[in-house]
Amino acid sequence: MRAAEKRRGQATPRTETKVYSDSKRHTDKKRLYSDSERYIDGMHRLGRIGTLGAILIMLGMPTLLGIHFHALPPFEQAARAAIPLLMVFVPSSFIEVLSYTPIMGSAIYLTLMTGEVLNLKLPVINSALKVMNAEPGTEDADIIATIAVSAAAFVTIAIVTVGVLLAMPLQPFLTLPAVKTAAANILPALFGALLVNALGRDLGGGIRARGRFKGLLPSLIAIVLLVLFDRQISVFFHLDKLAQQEGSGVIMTVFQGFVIIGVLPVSYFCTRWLYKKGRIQVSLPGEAGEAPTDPIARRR
Amino acid sequence: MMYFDLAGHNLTYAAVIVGIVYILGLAALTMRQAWKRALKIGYTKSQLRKVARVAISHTLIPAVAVLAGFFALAPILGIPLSWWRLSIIGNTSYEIMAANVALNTAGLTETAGAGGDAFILIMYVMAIGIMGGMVIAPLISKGIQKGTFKLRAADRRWGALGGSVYMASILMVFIVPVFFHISVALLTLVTGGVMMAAVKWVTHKFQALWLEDFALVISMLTAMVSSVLWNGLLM
Repeated sequence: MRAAEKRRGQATPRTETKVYSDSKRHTDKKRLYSDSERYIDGMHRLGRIGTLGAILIMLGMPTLLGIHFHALPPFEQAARAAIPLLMVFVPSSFIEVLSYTPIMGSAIYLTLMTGEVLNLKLPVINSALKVMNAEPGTEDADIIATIAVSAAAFVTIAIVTVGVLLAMPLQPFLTLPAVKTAAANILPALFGALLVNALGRDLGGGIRARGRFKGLLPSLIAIVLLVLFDRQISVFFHLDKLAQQEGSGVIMTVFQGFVIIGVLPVSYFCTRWLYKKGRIQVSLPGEAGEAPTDPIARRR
Repeated sequence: MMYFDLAGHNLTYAAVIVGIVYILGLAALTMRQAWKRALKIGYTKSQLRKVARVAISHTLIPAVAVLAGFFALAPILGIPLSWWRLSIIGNTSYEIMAANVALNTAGLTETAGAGGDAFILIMYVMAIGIMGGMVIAPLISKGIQKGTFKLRAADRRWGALGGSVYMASILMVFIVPVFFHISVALLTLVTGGVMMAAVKWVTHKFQALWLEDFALVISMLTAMVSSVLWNGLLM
């Protein structure tokens, strides 16, 4: 209901028949709710089946080729190589699923299947939600994230495919040192822009929060301390050899995923506590003094 | 059969094409479901096209960086496997690391001269090593999302505020360490931020709504180009 009101404020729907009138929305509230639930359940079902299919293809491909060419490696050798990788990547995958699902919703399945989560899918979803003024954690956000991730997957596959077809003429350009430097700095370039986007009171959907960064302060202090005492912590946990290999802070690079899983609950519960205490004030669209003053938000 | 005979074999190409078509089909089906639902709950086609346009414009630059990774991977994995790995789950640095781990296990130091079984071994290791998320997500994602919905339904204000904490925390973990020493990464990050602020200012000042859709692309591209300059200066 609120989402519909919000959308009606954003733009005039193209076809009247596709939009529920206010009265119909009241009488059909139960049906709309179950429609929404059915949609979300359906998307999770599709995601699960799709993921299972992708796993079968990923494992089926080497199996079939190995059988056809009589080149199957011994199982023990594959396990010996895969287990160390699994030990590193399973915890970080768990953290990824835990921290990205609230933002991505049911789009998480396609996101994980198509990869490039941090440098591509997450910012794409973030921008799409921002441009559509959608609140994260809603059905609207789920739909927008799904459309954005699908479009991003098409473009990435298309560009890599073009690269495959034009491998010869493109290679000299893409292997230039300047292009390599620029490509290596994609994450700082992205995070600088996202940081400015994340500052401010807007939470999406016209909801605004005053003082919301107070809840992040304990995590910020913890991160600063981890960076400052990285070397000492590495020595304490006998990770100094790893630190030498990395040439920089080992905690914030190799164990970045674990830092995220530590920081998330701290930020979450501090923000919750401050919100309950009234130190962080959240106002809904149209509430006193918090009507969107941003001309772009008004016009959208 | 040797490593690169298998890596460039027509059958390998065929297997990869089947996989890519599957992923494309799944993405199309997922998008169709979301699109239909969006129209049903009141979004207009032009709004949905705008979402797709934003997603496409924001994907172009990172996708070109992925393509640069393709040229780093192709000499190690051959063209079809690199094409497959970069079209689906994973990223360039993971793929190179996984290939090295697999080769070390097979007692090899490089792919040139290796047997076909080393190629199959690399395919297995790459697939299994990064499959964690794909196994975990079907088990817990639905529960997490339902929890988020319940949270928001109980208190809309807290739902919106609590939801914002995730993205802010992830950003903090990645950004804060960069500020501890002058580096190309720091200067690139600052350039990206300054450019984003400038584009936002121009958008608001001149009511240039169309510019907002390209704010991230313009900021990122400028910051990435600036990294070449910062690299030259700091070297």
